[in-house]
Amino acid sequence: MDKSRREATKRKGIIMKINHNMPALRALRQLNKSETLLTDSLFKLSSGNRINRSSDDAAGLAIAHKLRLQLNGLSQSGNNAWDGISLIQTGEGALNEVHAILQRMRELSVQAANGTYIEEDRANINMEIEQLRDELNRLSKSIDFNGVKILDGELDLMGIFSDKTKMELLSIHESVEPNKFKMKITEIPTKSKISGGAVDLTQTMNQDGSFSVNGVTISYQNGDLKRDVFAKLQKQADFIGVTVEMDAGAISLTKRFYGDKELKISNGLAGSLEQLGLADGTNTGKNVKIDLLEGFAPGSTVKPSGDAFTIEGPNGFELRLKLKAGAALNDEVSLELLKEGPAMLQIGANYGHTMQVRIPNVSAEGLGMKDIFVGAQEDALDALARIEDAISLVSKIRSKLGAYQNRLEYTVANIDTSSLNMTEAHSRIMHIDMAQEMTEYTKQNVIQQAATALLAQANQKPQEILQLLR
Amino acid sequence: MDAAQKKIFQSRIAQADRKELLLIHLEMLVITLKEAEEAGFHQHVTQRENKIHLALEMIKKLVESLDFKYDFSADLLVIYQRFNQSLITALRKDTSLAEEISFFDTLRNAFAQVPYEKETGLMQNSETIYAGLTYDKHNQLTETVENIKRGLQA
Repeated sequence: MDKSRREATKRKGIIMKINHNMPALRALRQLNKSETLLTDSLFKLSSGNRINRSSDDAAGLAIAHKLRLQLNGLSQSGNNAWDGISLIQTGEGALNEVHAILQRMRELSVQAANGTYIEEDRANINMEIEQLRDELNRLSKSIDFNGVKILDGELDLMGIFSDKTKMELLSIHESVEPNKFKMKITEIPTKSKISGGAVDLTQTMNQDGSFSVNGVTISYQNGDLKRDVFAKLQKQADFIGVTVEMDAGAISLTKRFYGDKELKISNGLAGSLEQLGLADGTNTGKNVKIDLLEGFAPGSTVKPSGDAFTIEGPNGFELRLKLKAGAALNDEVSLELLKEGPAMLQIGANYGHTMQVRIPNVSAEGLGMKDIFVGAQEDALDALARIEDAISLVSKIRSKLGAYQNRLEYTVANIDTSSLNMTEAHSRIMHIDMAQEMTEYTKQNVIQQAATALLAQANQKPQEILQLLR
Repeated sequence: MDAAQKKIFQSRIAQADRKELLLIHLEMLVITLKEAEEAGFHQHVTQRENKIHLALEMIKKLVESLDFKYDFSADLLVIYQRFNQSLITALRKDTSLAEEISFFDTLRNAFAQVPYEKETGLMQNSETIYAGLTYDKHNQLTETVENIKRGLQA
């Protein structure tokens, strides 16, 4: 106590100091400290988290936050992968049906290619083939997954022509990558056609006779109306894919499809055709011819088929295109294949973790089956070859889908493992060890409650403890 | 616990008051658990089982000595039950007892920190031990000194 205060004390008498009670203050400080630790421990126990605020462990919280973001991303990418599997399974299921349809078409083509059938039989077979082809088209256009058409080329590379009135894209092989191509039309396709001279169909035939169109015989009798003979010719010719019509008073016969298939008419009996204004003759149409200008690998070839053509190149490159009505001789047409189109699946938590799913057009046109015809034996053999190509293509597509599905299943398994490991890492950082925290909580509780804790527990009898020393 | 350790514990128990008795009890429990862990490490299965059974009995005694007038007893009971369960599991599986050892050691240290006015020993008529020496009616530590020259000439 300094001199001035001593003097003051002497003047005032004994002073009772009550402002600061240091022992009590010290005890209170310890109590508050213990209370804080206890509250902290209780908070951790009730939340289950080791880190409840950044002051608990700032670095740990930052790492745990990043892990949580990654986990959320992985979880969603797992869902995306499953969606991808569902899309592929939908497509695969539909392609199973496409395969069945093609198999049936093949059976019918084999049947029609048999020489024991007449044109009328083949016409009936052709009707079923046409129905199957229509079903093929319907399937390709109707099968969708969440509103996305998956079999009509919507999930394949998008192609843009410099002039879309001249050409259209039928199908793209999976090995074809986005690129720019340029072609020149050097031959316009034509249909085989034979036209006759003027004829009056109100007249009658003046003798018994017959003539044939591509081997199909049409007979008539003396006195038959020319109109009836014309109708018979139309019906029989239709069976074999030849359209017969009146064109400015003259009969013309035209092959239904473009290409270099021969059309031949011949007299069975001399003078028969002449009565209808026709004469013995043969005509062969032309296939399209294309020159490849830019974008194609050396060694690429063009395989024409009527008004359609297939460009084949190394490494399985294959593009199928078709000429349209606006195409003219020496036209140059550019095609740009864009990367847009295929489904891009996000199968990872970060940017760039994607997988592309491409499914080509499997409509009748995409499979080269649009103008399939088995009315004549020769056509049936041709159809058989094309159907076999289509079956082979669908098999390849299904294999590819199977490979996609396998890859996605591995991806899902990998994502599950990564998620598990990451969840464990996250838990190690964020979550408390319950036993450890309970121990800490009990310890703080005992210290906090002190005498009460002792009174609650310290009630042993010495004899009982001694018994434990056996 | 070997014989020497047991003798020491016996002596301590004889002199212990309430708090000291509790601390001894917890100390014995920790030692027993450590011995069980050691036996498990050396693949002495039977010994490990026996030690765990003994530890379970010690925990049972802890539970029996709880005074439920105080709310804190309920908290302790929950914890004892939890470790009781884990020790029973340890009988069936070769699990580590590190958690249990850590907990009871911490509990012992926590009770040791509680300020408490020393009382007389709970055991009646026990020997009083002073710094390792024992006095009783048959054993008095005396020293006979003969022929002492006290430095004075009579």
